[in-house]
Amino acid sequence: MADLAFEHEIEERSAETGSSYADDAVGRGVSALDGRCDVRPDQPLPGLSTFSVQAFVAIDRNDASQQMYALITDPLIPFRLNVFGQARDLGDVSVVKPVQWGSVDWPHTQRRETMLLLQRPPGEPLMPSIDGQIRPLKVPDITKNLIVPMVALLSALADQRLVHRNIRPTNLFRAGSDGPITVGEFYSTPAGFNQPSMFEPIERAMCPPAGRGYGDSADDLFALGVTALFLVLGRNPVAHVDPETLLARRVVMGSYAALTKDHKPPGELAPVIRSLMHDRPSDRWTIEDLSRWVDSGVAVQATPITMVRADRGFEFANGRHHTRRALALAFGKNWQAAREVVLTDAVERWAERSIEDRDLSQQIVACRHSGSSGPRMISDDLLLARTIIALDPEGPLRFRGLSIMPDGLCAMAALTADDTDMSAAFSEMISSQLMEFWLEHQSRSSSVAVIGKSDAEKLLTYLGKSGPGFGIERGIYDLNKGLACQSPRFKHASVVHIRELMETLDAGAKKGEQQLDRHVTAFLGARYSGSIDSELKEFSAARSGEEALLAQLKIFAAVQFKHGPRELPNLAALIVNHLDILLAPYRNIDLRQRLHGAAERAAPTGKLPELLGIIANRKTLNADKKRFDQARRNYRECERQVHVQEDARERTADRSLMVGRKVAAYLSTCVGAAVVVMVVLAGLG
Amino acid sequence: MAKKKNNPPPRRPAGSRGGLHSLALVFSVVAIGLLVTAPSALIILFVGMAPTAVAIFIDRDPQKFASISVAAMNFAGLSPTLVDFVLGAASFSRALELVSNVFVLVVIYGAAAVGWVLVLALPPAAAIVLGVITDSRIQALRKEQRQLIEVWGEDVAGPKARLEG
Repeated sequence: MADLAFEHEIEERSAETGSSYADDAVGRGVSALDGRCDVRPDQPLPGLSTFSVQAFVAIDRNDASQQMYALITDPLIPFRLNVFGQARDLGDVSVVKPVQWGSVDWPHTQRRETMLLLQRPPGEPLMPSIDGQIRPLKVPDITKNLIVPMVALLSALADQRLVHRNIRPTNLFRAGSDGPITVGEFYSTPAGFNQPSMFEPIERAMCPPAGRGYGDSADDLFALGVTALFLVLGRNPVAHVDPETLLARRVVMGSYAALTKDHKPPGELAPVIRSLMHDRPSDRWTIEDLSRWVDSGVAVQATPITMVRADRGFEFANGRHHTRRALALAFGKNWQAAREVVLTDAVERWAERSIEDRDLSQQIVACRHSGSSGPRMISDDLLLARTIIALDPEGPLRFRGLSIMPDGLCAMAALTADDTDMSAAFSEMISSQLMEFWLEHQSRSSSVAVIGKSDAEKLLTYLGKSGPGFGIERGIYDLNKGLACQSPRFKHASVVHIRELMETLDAGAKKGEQQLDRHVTAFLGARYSGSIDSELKEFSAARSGEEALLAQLKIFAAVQFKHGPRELPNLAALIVNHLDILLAPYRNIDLRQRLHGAAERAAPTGKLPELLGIIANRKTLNADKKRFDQARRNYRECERQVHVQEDARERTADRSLMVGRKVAAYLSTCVGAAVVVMVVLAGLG
Repeated sequence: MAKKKNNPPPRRPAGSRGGLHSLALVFSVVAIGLLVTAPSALIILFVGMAPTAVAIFIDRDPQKFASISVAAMNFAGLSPTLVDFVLGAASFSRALELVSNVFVLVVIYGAAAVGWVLVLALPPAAAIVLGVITDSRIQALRKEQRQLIEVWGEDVAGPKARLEG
């Protein structure tokens, strides 16, 4: 792990010598992963870079022969952390394997960046760019060097419940012209994020990159079909068509027909590609179907889709839409205009008369009713979103400009966080339980539905709590384990690991920076191994500076105890500066002074749990409270006694008259009796 | 019509007039004894105990402590004359002689005056003693409160009951 002081070092040196320090770092390479490797900022690898990640040469210090490269990720885009860990166990398959990930102090940006260290694939990409041209690959070459290794890879991925979602010609590598093909990385961005839309099935292609969803092996097989088409043709067959037009064509004609309209693949490969590019996931070839074809060479083609086409197109947005999906797509793209349309009965009449689907018509009518899963009030936006689902149940969730596959909520939540309108639309979509409605319209269960339901429920739970540590921010970090903390105070550092966040907070504490904001609390809540919700709620409910400071200490102590680092001296020093406030709940002055001394002695060790044990020891606090209550009662009793005595003093005149006379009476009686007795005795004697 | 409550009569303080009654009892026993043994001694008794009668008349205190005090001393002053008379020549003329003797009366009435002196002098003395006792107890309580504040701070006094001074 790179030195935390780097950031300050850069600032200090830059102040002295301009940008020379950064230049030096570029020249000599940057030490990463505790000095195990050097990353060379001056040696970029354009063939391995994408629009969202930059690739650079990396050298293993212990073994220079090991071919590695480093990807510097975009801090706004979550990388696939869970996949990164699991992919090490994929076995002997042709894919770029992960080595390690961590942070690196990056001279180009002068900030700490998240770096993924990967095995470097052999050779160059099969296609330099998606619109580039290459010598077409022969069918046997594609079969032997692409399909066969891909079957093994996709099987291995499926065994681990993983998907690649980054299969395309520009992410396939091989050394020379006839070696085995290695598939490139799929760790640096959310699933499908870097894919041109033509490599995605229609329903996912209808979404922006962040909303395409996790997907399953059927999506990888679709991308493999398109990749095979590109390679066998040696170019992009639809390079001249813009993505929007191509999508519209695919919706109307089907993906295979749209992509092969002008350039047909060779006859022996055509049925394979057609079956892999089938637009209905349930009818698309599976890994077993592909494997069977590899083994036998016999292609049992998937059943073609029989698309229901209306005799009379629905006129909307300057076009006539003849299919349900085409109309749903048009509605999603023209939200304001579509809102007006769904308020009338035009869509259900079209469904009944032109599509001749009475069930669909009834489903569209039912969209107006809340039902068991919906909110009490159906807004115009929700009505339109529901109508779109009724028209295209396999399609993405569409809501006020958003278009998200149900298993793509996590990445979309992260990438809409900065956009107020999109974020509001996203939150409203979740709150209106559109996911439940989508699930009700699914004819079969799928991984998409399972992931979508789980993610939506989590988001709904977090949206129901508004305090720091909860809300949409918590959902973002909970669902995106590879997302850096987006707090504005981390503009100088991309922090993905909770331990790094604590180290950065500690460094910031020295400068007196504010410690906790909504992003930091949500990040800590999501990344903590276990639950610190009670501490977060305490922080959220704090009504005074003292309560907030104590809750903050509890959060930091819990995190340090479980995740480290071992020392947080600056945070401890910050806490010690506020000891008077923190120790205020202790009533006994002597005890408070002893605790003050103990805390000051403990602070330099930087161990916050120890500090918390001193400052907020429940047993000591309870004993102190009991003794204080007793002392208070004693004080009150003294006060009462004083009042009694003062009252008595005011009545001294009366009392003394009474007492004096009484004493006089007794005294006289005694004296008199004594005299009488003596006189009688004397007289008798 | 509201039912009129029967208020119980005010209770007299326990022991009130108890001393006076005891004194009256003693006086009655002595008087009866004298009536039997030496009736003429009753003249000395009634003349000699005149200060007590006056004290009972002017003492408004329900417990009659002043009267008791005067009566006790008065009887003590009378007792030597009365014992001499009963044991000596207890004649009517001797009784008249004694009650007209100034020295005898000075002794008897002087003793009653001592009773009055006690009644008048002891209350101020009692006031001084009681004042000293009360002040020392208040000082001890304030000291305890100051010690509590030293240990627990001002909050131990509560928001309203802070120690003054």
